[in-house]
Amino acid sequence: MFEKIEAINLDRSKEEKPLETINELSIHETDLLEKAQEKIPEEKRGKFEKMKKAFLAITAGAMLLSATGCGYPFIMQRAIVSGNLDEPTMAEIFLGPAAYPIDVTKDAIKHAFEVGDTKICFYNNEISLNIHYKKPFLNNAQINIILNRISSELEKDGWIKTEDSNYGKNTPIYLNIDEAEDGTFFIDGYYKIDKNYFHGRLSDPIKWEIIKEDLLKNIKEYNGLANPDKPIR
Amino acid sequence: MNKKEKLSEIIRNSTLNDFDKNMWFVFIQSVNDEQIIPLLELLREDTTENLEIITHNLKQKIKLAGNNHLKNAQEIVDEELKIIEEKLSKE
Repeated sequence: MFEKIEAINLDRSKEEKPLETINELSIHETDLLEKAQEKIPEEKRGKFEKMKKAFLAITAGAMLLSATGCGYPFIMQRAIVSGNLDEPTMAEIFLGPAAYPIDVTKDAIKHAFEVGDTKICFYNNEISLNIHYKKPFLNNAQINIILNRISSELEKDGWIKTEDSNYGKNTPIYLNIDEAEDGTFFIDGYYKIDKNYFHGRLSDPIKWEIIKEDLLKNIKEYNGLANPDKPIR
Repeated sequence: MNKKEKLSEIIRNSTLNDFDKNMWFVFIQSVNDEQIIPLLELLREDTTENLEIITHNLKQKIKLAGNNHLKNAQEIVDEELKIIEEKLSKE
């Protein structure tokens, strides 16, 4: 029924500019759907119009999400916190604007490691947060901001920050966050003493509930994170 | 009940998985009532099928916003036209 539509040539340099990309889609989508609509019989235009408006409304929403920093795939992801290899699935976290990276990380650390007489320490920024995404969406500067904020937050909470490089180097903490094929994420925490690695331990299954207020707050804060040059509103 | 609440209710009562429901709730948070109207209009008929269609469409666009390697804009619009064509041909 429809003619083949001309290819849309997106500028590859816009790969890290989500708003521009979705804006470009919006322009082409509106234009192409309207052209296609003109070519169909009058009696079917009403139904076409309804579908077109719905698709365009979704694009408009996706643009807003991008503008608020949520266009990043964070919105799509959830994570499984894994600590003990024998019982890997102990908790579930919804990431996204709804799940602020620091909170996710702090909770993951708290529950992935035995906390008690043994203090968990970190050395400068040697808490290693390895994020393995199938599709990169945070650049190095943004990841560094996250790491610095995690360190700062943990220090405020009374976690030991040592300048003793020997001590620190013996107890680095690693968190691996791996994206699975289905869009879920796996967080694997472990620490190293001397040359041996010890996986963290989880006690009880925990599920984090995200409330609306946090969601909106995190949208704003994540926007600040995703756009480090702009102050957080 | 305002438009946002209405759409939220449809999503909540749908058979979508938690993952997709959460995606919609974030979407609904970000738009205003007026922007919800076309979606409610579409969902008046064939609710389940149309909800699946727009859920897939929303995912594609969010992914495009985050990383245009996933599926380019051309493919998204091609697919939209194919869906509309199939819908119209059923009548």
